[in-house]
Amino acid sequence: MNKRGDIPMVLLFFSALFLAVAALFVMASFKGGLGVDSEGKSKIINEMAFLENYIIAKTKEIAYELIGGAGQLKDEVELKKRFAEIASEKNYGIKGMENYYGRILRGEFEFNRDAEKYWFEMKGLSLKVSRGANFIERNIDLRIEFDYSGDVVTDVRVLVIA
Amino acid sequence: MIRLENLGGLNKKGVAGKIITSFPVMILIFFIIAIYIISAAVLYKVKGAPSSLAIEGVELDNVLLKEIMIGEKRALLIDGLVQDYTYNYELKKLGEKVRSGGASEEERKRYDKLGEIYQASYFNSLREGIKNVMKREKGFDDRALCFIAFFNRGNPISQNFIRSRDIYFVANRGDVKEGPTFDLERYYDKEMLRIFEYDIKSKSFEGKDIRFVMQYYYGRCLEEGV
Repeated sequence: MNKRGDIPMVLLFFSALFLAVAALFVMASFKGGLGVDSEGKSKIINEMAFLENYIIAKTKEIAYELIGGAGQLKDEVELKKRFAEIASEKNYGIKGMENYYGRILRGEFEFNRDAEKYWFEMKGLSLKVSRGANFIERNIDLRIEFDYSGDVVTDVRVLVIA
Repeated sequence: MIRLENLGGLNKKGVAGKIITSFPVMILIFFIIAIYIISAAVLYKVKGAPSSLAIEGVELDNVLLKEIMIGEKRALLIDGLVQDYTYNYELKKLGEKVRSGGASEEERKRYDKLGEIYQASYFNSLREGIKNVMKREKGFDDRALCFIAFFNRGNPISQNFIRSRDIYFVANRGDVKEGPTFDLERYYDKEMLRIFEYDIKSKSFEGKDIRFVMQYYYGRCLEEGV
């Protein structure tokens, strides 16, 4: 048998060995970074969702406290004033909430009652979230209705397309 | 047999090739594959399998919006944490002034009041609130669930941030701990830490706005027994 006849077999052996070692090396050095691109976008979407839920939760908390002592408040003007006072006390400077508290301080919302319920309404609230180069802005309409014990009866959120 | 007879006529390289190829090559390849599979299994064990942090019945992203009671008032968990950190921070700053003798009468009063609020009631309410939030989760009884919050004014990426002192650590049996973060890393998945930023606007901080950052983790404890 000549020498050349054995070369392909030797190459086959070393190729298999090389491929196995290379595959193990790739596996050992892989850090699972395939999701890096989508991670940033996913985070700001989550942040936006959190911000919306936080605004709803804060409004409920403020309204609950207000309704508990609202018996002596005569009209919408007094209700709104008290709402703004409580909101101001409960503003801890969370990033992204500036527009919400700004609108409340400027009186650009509605808080009123009839014989059956109280309601809070704010239209065209602009929410912005950014992370690195990614940026999301949404405008939403809010309407939340409460019974006289301060519990939520209905909660309506509408996304406004500008 | 013919091959073996001809071995003597080959040079050294040829002999090596001959020896190797005299074994059934397929058996060698199967042998290599076996080594590969065993090594892959070892690597998998060493590197760890991707862990699922979702727990049935646990709202991982909305934990900060859970309601707790602070004294007689309803509050959101996130607000409780922020307020707690703010009190703690302000107390520390005013304490430095009071001890150095540079505090005004107003600052002294504020310091006393804060100490009373913070130490007597606020922190205990918050601890109870966190415990109750965790207990309400369906996964609480049979799975280790961790809530960890780090607070700082620094850069959340830096190691100094992680080593900072202000934390809340809650394990599966409702044990709430606060303290240094020396060995916390083994309980949480770093990639699952979420970042939360907020500003404090208060005259108490010498008229300055201060930005704080909170990192928090809520999910399966990677290790039990806190």
